[in-house]
Amino acid sequence: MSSHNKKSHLSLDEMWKDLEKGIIQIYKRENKILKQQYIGLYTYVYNYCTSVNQTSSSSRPAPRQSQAYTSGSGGGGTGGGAQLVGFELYKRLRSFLEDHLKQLLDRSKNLVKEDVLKFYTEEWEGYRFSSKVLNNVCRYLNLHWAKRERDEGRKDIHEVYQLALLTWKTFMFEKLNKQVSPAVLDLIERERNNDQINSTLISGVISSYVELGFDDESNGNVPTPGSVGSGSDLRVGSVGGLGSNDSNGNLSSQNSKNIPNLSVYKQNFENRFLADTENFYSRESSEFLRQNSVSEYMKRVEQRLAEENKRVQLYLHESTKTPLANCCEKVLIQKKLELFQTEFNGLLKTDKNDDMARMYSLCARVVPGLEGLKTMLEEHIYQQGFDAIEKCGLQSAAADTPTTPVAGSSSVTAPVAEINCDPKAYVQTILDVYRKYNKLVLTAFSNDKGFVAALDKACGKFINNNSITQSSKNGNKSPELLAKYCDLLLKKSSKNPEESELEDTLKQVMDVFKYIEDKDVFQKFYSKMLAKRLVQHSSASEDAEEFMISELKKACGYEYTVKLQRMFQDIGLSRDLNEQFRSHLDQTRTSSSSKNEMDFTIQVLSSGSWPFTQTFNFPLPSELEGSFHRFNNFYSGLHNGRKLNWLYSMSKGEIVSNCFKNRYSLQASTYQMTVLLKYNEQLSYTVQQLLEQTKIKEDSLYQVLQILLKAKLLICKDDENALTSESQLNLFTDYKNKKLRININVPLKNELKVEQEVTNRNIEEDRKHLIQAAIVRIMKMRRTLPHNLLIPEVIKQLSPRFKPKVNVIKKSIDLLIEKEYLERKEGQKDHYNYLA
Amino acid sequence: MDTDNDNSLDRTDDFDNGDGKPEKMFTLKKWNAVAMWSWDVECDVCAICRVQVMDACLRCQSDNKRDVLGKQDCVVVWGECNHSFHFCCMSLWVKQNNRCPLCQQEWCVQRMGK
Repeated sequence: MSSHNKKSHLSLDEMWKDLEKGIIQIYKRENKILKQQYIGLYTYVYNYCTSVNQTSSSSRPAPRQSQAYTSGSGGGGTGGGAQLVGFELYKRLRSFLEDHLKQLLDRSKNLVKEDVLKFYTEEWEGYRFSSKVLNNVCRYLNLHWAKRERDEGRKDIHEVYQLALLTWKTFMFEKLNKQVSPAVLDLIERERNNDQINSTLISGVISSYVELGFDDESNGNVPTPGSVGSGSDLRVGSVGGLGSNDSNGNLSSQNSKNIPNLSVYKQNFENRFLADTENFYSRESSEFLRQNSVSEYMKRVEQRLAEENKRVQLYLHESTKTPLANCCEKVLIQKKLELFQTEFNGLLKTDKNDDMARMYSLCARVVPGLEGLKTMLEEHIYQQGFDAIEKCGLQSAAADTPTTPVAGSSSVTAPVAEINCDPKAYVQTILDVYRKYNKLVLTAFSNDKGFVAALDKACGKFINNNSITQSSKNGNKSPELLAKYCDLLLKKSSKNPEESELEDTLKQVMDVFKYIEDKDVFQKFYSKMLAKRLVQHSSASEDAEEFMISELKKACGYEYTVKLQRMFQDIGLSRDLNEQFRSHLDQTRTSSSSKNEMDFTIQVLSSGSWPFTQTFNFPLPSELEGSFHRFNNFYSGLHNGRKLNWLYSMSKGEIVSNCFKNRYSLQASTYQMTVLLKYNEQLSYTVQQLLEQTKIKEDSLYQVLQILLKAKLLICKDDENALTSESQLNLFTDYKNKKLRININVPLKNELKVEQEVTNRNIEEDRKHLIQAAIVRIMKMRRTLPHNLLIPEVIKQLSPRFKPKVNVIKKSIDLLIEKEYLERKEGQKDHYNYLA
Repeated sequence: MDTDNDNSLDRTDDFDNGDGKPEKMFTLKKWNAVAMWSWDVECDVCAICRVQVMDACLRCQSDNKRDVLGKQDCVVVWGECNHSFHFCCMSLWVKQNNRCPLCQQEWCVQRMGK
């Protein structure tokens, strides 16, 4: 503090002499500036500024004084004197910097290209560092003079550091940038051509350009000297290292603040850089493509884009990242899109997944880049699916011919009327195509929404419309085959997979299911086959059945599966019922009833849920009648208001032969049992006699007899297909079979046919109801709707279940008008009104 | 004649099984019958909610939480006039009008479905 007082009276000239010496030392950056020296210089400035104040006012130059200054500024006087003195020092600093830079510039005169860069960057770093030190030396001036001046509107006054930058801009940058900028661009191009370059030269220039952008008045954004803090840390000796660290720190700190004014950077560098980039790459890409394939080109583009990205990180300002990327993408990708698209087809055909992934990631960068690829993918998948199914159909048609079922074989399979594609092969073919392209979309196209949609669309198309569906009459072969495949999976057989594997397979079935348009057809077939599995106890696994039903429920809702679920429940209830019935019999059984009684079980199903139709009734043979009555009595005691309808065609039993060499156990239908039991009374009947005595319907009886003849249990002189009412049928007592348990229970042809017809008719009927219901629902909500809006809404509402045909919708509308649910609006014939 | 011989052979075998009567050609061992039950009604459709009486009534259907035993809950009721409805539907109906909706006779429950 003593030094203050001593030197407080010094005049500007006296003080400047010492101060200038110090400043020259700062800018020379040859020796370390000692802490003491630094404090000395600071004190000069402080003393200078405060000495003037002391003459004008007795108060200390505390921040409080700012009030006095602002109030006194208008009147000039003592305040004016202080300003003038501050300005004097400021002017001297400015002319010092100007002189310093003029001298520097002289040294650059004969430099070219890289040397200019080297000179510019080195000098910039040094100058910047020195100016920061100077700024700190002049801190007092900044705080108590420059700031106030600026507050009062003198925008041409700057803090010392900004003064230094501004001077640099006028005396160095403007003189040199015509050489520096091209040299930088030149260097970058050399690096693009794989030369090793010194990138610090570029980053130096760039950071200088960025920092020089401060002085735009409108922006009002002023860089501060960054991390240079208290003077005690400073060591002028280590300018280089410190400087470069510092410049990075400064750049990022600016970015984290406001958006820096980058006008200098943009005007003098970025614009030209982008133009250069565009030229370079359009030249390179066409040249590269002349000699290389597209897939090589894509690798190259990928590499180039990565390089440019790294370039921005390494030595350009980060704001360049997006424009540079856009520029490269425009030249390298957008302009080659057509080329990419032609190549894409080839890649699809040859399954070049890596290349497709690359193409996707490249094309995703530009705006309409993916559209073409999506449509091509869709078409390709559709074609692949269509072809695969056609092939599968041809194969199974070829395989069908030699394997006609062998007549009379012990395990007679149901005769199939139509030439059918094997359900398993069919579904597997679909799944193969689906899985292949699902994986492709997942891996190569990163599950992009648009590509998933393309996959879905293509799958929907080829699954619902292919050579197999086209060959069938009503076109809903796909849901039928899928349901049959489910049946194969869920039916007990030697090939049943493990439980967990089965669930996986069923999940795959659901993958196909979601593409099925006629989900109602699937439901019909599925419930028919489920019913058979349940009634015949031929389900492979109850859990798997339940799993599948819950999957269907997830996909289509409660209503879709309510009947399936009820069927499932009925089987459980029947199990309990049989138990109850057995204990009921045990209690009521009298000692007289023979222990040799046949084993009787029953399944009581709720009508309406099961796809069974009553065929016909006939008087049961006495052997069965007992159980029939006993159960009927038991059931009516258990329930109230119910009637039982026995389905003899579904009932079956086991009958043991005592008349052959071996005791055979025959699995037979109720009809077969009835006929065979007749032979307990006599060994020969005419057809007419059997007809009269069993009262089985004639055409069914003929078929029952044909099956028994085929199985060689009966014999007849007439051919089995030419039976007349006079044909004599004898029990074949020499019957032989390798097996002791024989299944002769083959479904009757006419029953199969009826079933098929009923299924198809039901589908049509149900659809009509659903369409009518949909129309009423929509109209109830909308009250009035024009025809051409009603139709699409009906289609939309029903499409999760099936695709309604427009003419059926029209018919339903007419029907609803007739039933007075709707009316045509008067005056507007194409509008409908809802009638409550 | 041969057949007779075979039969007599078999018959002797069967005597060993302890059955006093001579064995017939065929004996029934097992019968797995299938039957459908339905409500013993004149009309399949409930006149109140227009849904088949075999199905749950509209209210119960929309309340599909009960799907586990929904069936048992929505039973049928018969009046003295022998008309039948969902019990759910009818119990709401009689609150307003204690007559059969079909024949306007005084509603009197004849029996309940179970």
